[in-house]
Amino acid sequence: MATVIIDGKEIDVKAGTTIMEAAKLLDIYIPHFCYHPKLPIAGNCRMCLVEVEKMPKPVISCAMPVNDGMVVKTDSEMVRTARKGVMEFLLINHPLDCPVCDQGGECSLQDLAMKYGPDRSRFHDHKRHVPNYDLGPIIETEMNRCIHCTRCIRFSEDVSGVEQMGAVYRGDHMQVGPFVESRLDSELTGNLAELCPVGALNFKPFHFQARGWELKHADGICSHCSVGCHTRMDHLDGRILRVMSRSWNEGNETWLCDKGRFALDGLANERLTAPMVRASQGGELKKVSWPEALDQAAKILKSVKPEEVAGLASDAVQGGEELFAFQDLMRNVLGSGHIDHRLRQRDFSADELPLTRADLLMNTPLASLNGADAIVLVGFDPRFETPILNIRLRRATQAGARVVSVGARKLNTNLLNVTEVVVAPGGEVARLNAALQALDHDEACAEDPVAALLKGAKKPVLLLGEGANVHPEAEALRRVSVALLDKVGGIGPNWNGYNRVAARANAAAAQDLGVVPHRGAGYTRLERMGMNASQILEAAASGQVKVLFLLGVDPLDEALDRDLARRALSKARVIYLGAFYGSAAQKAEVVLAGLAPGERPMTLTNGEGRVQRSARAVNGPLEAKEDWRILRALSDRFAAPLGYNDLEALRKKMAASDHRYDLSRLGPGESAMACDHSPVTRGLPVTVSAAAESGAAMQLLMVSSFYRDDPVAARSKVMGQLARDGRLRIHPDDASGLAIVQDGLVRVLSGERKIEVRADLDRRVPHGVVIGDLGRGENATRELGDYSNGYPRVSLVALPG
Amino acid sequence: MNERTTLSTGVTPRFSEEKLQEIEKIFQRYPADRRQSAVMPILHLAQREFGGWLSREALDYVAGLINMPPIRVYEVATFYTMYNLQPVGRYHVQACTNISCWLCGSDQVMDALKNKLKIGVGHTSEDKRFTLAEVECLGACVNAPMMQINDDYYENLTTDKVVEIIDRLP
Repeated sequence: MATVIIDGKEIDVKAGTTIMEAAKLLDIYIPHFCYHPKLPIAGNCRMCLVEVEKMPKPVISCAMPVNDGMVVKTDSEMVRTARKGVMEFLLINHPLDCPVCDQGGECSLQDLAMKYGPDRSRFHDHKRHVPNYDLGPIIETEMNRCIHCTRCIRFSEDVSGVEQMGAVYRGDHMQVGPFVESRLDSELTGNLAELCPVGALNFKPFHFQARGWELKHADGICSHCSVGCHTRMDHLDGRILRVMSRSWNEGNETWLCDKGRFALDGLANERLTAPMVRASQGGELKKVSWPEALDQAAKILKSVKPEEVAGLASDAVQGGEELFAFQDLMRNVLGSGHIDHRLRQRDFSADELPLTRADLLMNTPLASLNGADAIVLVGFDPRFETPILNIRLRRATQAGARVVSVGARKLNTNLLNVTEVVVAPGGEVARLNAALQALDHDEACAEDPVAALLKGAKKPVLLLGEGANVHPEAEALRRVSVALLDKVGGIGPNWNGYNRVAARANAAAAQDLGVVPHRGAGYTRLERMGMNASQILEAAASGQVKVLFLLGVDPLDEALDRDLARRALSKARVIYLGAFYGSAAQKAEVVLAGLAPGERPMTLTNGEGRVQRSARAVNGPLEAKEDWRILRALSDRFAAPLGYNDLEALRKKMAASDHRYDLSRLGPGESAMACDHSPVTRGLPVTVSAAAESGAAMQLLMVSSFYRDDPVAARSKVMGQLARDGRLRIHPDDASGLAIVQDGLVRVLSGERKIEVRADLDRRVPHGVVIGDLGRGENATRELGDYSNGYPRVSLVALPG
Repeated sequence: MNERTTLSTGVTPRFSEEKLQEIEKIFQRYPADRRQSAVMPILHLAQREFGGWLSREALDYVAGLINMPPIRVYEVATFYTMYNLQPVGRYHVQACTNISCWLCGSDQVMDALKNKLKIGVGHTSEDKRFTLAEVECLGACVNAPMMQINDDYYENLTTDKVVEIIDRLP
């Protein structure tokens, strides 16, 4: 410990703390540009000079560790003179074009120049001119404004791991940028603009959209992946124009990924503005009043038996409120137990077991992931499923943790010390089981990468990603993962390294609040199990289910089997409640216009099971209404309506069914608890099916495209520029054997289905495998998905042109 | 200084087998986990091998050899003026104009060079034989004024001597 006196206030801090940090603890602001709490210290802007007694010259407080008995003055005559000098130099080459600069009004340089800057320049030479770069769809550059703080360079090197920014030339000629113009190849580029203390790096989508002081702010929770980053939605005239990060030490620190930041332009596309009803089969949708639309929906729902109604919900855009009200309506008002949100899942065998919340969610808080010393990724691409979680893993690897990735494809990763174990699609279970067996034998253990990594690890973590969750043998894979981790002591009261990471933002809330066929809200067991997502679609296609009630979900985009979804939607009568006019609304008989994230208060539960509330920023379009209110109004037309009339009452009901949704029990400023759940179920028998046989045909692996994987992002133009999907990825060696060329047309045959798609040669694709994309967008491979077939064998024929 | 001028030739140069062995020796001068330390000697070797200057492809090639991000190589190559990022002639004539040489008449030497070579500072003659450069102190003040042509120093220069030296070059 060291005792320092800063501006007359005394504080005890840990030895090694810098003056800047100590001052921060005392709420003393020291002006700075290059210092950033989450980046390595550079000490090159010189703005944070302070006076330390017994030191002849001012020192930079960001890099100076405190000593016991140090007396610091942050506002003495010497300090003010020094800062004035620094500011004059910083402004020498700065263009002072604040009136046309996006940063104007929220610029550190502008603010500090007001305090320390001279009122006129003594510099009469030409100002330097620095070239601009096109860095891709997120970042706009105006490098003349750069003050060489090097935050962007340190961020690229330290956090994003994609070293493209640098400082070339020297002295007066120094320039910041990539030197050779190139698009930034990172999922975190937006942070460069947020970091930039001046207007050199700006947001391209926000360029010239608004001035900082006009914007209103609302505190949000990001709904684009299961990390649930804290955001600040900046809006003007009813439109969200920009999403900035809010500092959250236990989660996103101060970062956001590009999807969380810029998918928001998808909110404005293809919106439903009023309820609509289709007068006759095959007729057109006509706008009607709300009572008419609800009457028609009720009529349809009453015209069939309760068990002939099934509900599918989106876990990407719907808040906990809607999900809870939806299952309440389905079960208690309509009397149907057929409800699900897992449209991509293949293996539903776990539904019969009393799995706990701990089995289904993460058990290592995000903040603890930095401390892991051994990381096993199973079917998980953290960088392009949950980028902010990936930063945590990267921090762990920077501190020396090693990583083994077990999956059917190689990852485009920025983690360090990675060993990739590529298995044939579906071979993960056998692979992990081999590791489990190897742990018993020293020799075998040394040879098995997974076992060798886990053996002796003090804080091992195992993360199951989307590839594991939608695996044809997902439950077997989950069990073997638990067994493996249990054996090395990775599941205990002090350290629990078992994590199942859902890709979707609100998948955890859907599980908690009972939007599954086998459990009610709050993990209550049900007497009778309803049908799961794949069964619902089958039943709808065969006519057994006559009415499909869709909550924000577009089965054609979401379901694994698009063909089945299409048959289901054409056979069944469809009621669609959601925000977007997509393929589901186009088929629907009744369309109820709901709201999108940012337009309604939402409860979002992240992958750690942390319940968080997002505020409303803007109003929805025209006559669209809050989704749960529509459900409530609809229930009025039945015998037993839903028992809540306002948001408070609904949230109380949610809290009553699952105490974790009771946020009133938290103290002021306290964030909801992460991993607040019972221990992981251990000791379930591990079953390993016969190893996947290898054949002559190629196997098709389908993955969801990160930048398009939710209804909002899918409609975003910016995400469209970032996504590189829609083509069939194949290894160059496999391609040359089949005479397939880059961007060449390929016919893909799988059973009776066939499609034509362009090829993309990619060395990361394993031999004997082709990778296609799921989800929205221009991609034909999604037609080949199937619930029962696992990874279908396909044959490829190169076509001319 | 005309900046951001790394030229792309479109052709990736390659070191010969012999030079690659030499590079292995350079790597051995540094600890195994500090391979990036070798960037300067390897860039120097690349400049020697690939025609006296470093194209963008040459920089990328060196980055690949050392396994470091290209931008880190660009930073080094642009920081030091003795890495040429533009093509130079067969004879790279570098005349010192620092204080000792200047006091001893480097202005006249420079003028003589310009007249003789018929090019200005920073330019290359049309026949690609000469590039003229003005450089900072090369540490031969004892015999100022001086100039360096490729690897050789020429000292105690006079205007006549300069012409004679240029004429004598093969």
